[in-house]
Amino acid sequence: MSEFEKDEGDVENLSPREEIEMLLPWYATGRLDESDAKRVAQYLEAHPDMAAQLALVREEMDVSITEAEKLGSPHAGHLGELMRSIEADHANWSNSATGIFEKIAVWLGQLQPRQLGFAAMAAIALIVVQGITIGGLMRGGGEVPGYETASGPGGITQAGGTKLLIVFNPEARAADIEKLLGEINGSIVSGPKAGGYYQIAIKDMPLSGAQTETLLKALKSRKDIISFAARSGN
Amino acid sequence: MAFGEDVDLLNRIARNDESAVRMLYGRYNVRLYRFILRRVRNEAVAEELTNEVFMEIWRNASKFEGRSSPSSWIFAIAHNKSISMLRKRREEGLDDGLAVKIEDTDDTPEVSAQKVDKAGAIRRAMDKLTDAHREVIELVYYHEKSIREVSDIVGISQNTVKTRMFHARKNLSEIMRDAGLDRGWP
Repeated sequence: MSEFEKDEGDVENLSPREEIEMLLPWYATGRLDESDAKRVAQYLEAHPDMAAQLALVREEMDVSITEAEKLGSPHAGHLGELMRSIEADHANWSNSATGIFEKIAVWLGQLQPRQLGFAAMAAIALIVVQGITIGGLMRGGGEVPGYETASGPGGITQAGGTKLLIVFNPEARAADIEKLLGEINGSIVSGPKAGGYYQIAIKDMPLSGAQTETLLKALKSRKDIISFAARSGN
Repeated sequence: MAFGEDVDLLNRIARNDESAVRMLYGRYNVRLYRFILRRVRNEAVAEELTNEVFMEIWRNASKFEGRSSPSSWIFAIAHNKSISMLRKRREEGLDDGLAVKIEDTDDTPEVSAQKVDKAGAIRRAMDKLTDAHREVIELVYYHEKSIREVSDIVGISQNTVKTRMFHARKNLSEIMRDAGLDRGWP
């Protein structure tokens, strides 16, 4: 029996005290469901000697947290390495016909890619061609500064667009961040850097100094989502 | 982070949204790194495995089916990668060569005489636990995982989670008692 199995125990014939003892760690972290938490609280009230057990659990918890906090974090360039690996992986995958079709299938409707038949693959290929064609026309017209192909979100940021440095409020919801970025036609181009900074590109034409200041002022007023906003170099 | 927001990030990653990877990384990288480091005990290996976890999320986000919480799904990837690495080390006989003792920040001349303090004794006892026992203690106390979440991450039944935690705590106290500090339990 491996070390991962040997402590499989019988929890059917436990005494009430042993049952409560087993639940104490989760009672201490507040991660018991409501009925179990109530059961433990009632037992503790009726059996004051069990408080000593809870005190032992809290000692262990304090040490465990303190020790984990000492372990530090990945080094500063870690995220950059990850993103380079992802970009390389993305490029390799995108260059294979199978990769393109599988990603599009996921994007279009959470279809099971490997269940797609040849006919479905052909239909998706047609949509890609249409998307690229529309994108080409928009670019040719010169009036639409950014565009998206039908193959995925994100669009293409034009060179020369305004870039900002942003720190999001840690309490901000991902959906609210996404909505705000949509409102300002912005997208995250890098980050988080030390201090939680993200570089945001505004996909419109480059903004004037006054326009950028107005935008920054508006962003700073959204304290529920943004805790810092400033201009960023390229 | 709320369940729904993690699901949203995974959905965006499934659609090739690299900025969602960055956001998920910001949320999880430190916790995952520490979780892995405590198991593999080597900083460079822990960093490499942390990146591998995010690569796997990038490649397989579309396969997340919501049968467990996103957090449990992510930690389960880290758990499995750590287990594979430890097995590989054992098979290759590299366990001792790679294992690096995590810095004992209390172990200075000034405080060495105070090593009888309770916190230090608990810490040293934790280091002597088996990998499986140390893992469950950290998932419960530091990562604040519920019984169901530990079950999903480690791949054992919820009853086993409870008994494993119980035995881990019991062993901890016994190690401390053998070292001369009786906690009065078990």
